Amino acid sequence: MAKINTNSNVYTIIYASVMVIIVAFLLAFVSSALKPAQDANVAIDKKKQILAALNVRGVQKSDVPAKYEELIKETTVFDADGNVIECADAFDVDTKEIGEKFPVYKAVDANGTEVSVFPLKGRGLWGGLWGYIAIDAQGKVTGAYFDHESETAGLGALIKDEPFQSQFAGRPLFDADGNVALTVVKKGDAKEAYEVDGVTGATLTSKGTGEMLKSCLQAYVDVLKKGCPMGKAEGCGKAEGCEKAEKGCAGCPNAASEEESHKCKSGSDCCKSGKCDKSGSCGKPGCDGDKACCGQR
Amino acid sequence: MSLLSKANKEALTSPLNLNNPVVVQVLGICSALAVTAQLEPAIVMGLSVTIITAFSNLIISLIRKSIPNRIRIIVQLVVVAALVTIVSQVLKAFAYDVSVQLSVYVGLIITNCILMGRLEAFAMMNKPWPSFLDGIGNGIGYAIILVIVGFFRELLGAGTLLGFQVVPDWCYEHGYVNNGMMTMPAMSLILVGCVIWVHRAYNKDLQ
Repeated sequence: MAKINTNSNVYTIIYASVMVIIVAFLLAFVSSALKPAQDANVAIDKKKQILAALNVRGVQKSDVPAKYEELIKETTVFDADGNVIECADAFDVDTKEIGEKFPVYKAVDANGTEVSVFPLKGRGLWGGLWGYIAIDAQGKVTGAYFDHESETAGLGALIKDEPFQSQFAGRPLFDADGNVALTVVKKGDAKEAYEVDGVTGATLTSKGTGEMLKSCLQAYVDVLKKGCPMGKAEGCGKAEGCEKAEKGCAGCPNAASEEESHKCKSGSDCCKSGKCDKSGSCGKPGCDGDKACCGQR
Repeated sequence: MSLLSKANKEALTSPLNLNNPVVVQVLGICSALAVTAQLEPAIVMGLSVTIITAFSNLIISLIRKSIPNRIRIIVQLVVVAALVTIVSQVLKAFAYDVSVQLSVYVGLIITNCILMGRLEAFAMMNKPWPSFLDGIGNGIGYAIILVIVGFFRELLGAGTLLGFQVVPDWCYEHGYVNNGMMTMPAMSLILVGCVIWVHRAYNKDLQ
């Protein structure tokens, strides 16, 4: 066999092209073959984080979905005007979309208290922060969970750990004047009940967490005021002091009768116009509970 | 040829001591600074680098005769990047918790100069099996230094090891204070310096 000149231009170009094509196919194959397993893991991880905000920690991976179903009673997604987005499951709202959409989970926490869980989104020192905070009907925090994209290991990354998060339980959301006040301050500076100690050596991450709490929770309060305050609505159209009371409750906004509406636990249950249909809980608009249609979209 | 002939043994063990990638070749210093504030990430990073160095050495050594000389660095980089990406994808699908911990290091592994250094210096001119051993040896040599530095930084900086408190409470009650400097990257450079000092003191021929 004649020896190929590995230094010729033609060989070099062909070599590079073949290599790139092989690697591209390999990566594309691996990525698409593993996608379903990865998505399932991401969903379980998200459920785990929400459970952590309900003070349910250390659940086995395989038990997470069942525990989630057990504790989360209903989910609602509000738009920026306080209207309920029909057929939307709060769980499907990506963290990036918070601020345009306002997902709220109604749940029971580890002690049996009825709480609302609000997803949060903010910025730390190096990258994004997110979290879930559970608040009871009296406006007291019952539990919190925070996570981060790329905070410094051993410093800012400590917001992901229980010692930092457990400080939040029992804190009031509002100050004496009724303004949203819950925040994080430098360790040792906390005076009021709504000021939580930050992490030493991670000033900017702590600040980012405080900022996230204040701005996100303020946004939720504004949105829910426009619609129907969570927890005040007894049934559709009965809430007091709401601009758009009839749309604010998490039943079936276009139900034929009030009774039918109350069968629905969450927006995702009422895909069929005016009737409560749980088969449609894929949350895709216009599917009317048709499972096949859900798969296509 | 036996699997562990004298030359092969040399390839495996010399990076552990006399030819250590960090303290003698002075490669991979940047990641040694970044991930050693605690012991656990140091161990994880050391293991990942060992696996990736071994397999990228193996692959490059297998195709070493076909690689055009002028684009060899690019070829090495593509192999390493593809390998790291595939490993992180597989972990994400089957060991999600590990992958979440590792995600920060993936970029650091690709740019780790030990990888490129070993590919250039060893895998390009040696057979696959010795190259594989060389990769493992260098990875472990790197991991040892990381673990030593991580051990002292976590112990003195936070009073814990692998997250468990080891400095007893009565020490703190009698006025012992954790050294905050230890959590800063600069301290790890000084610690690496101390390790090099001790290492040279024991190996006169390196002086």
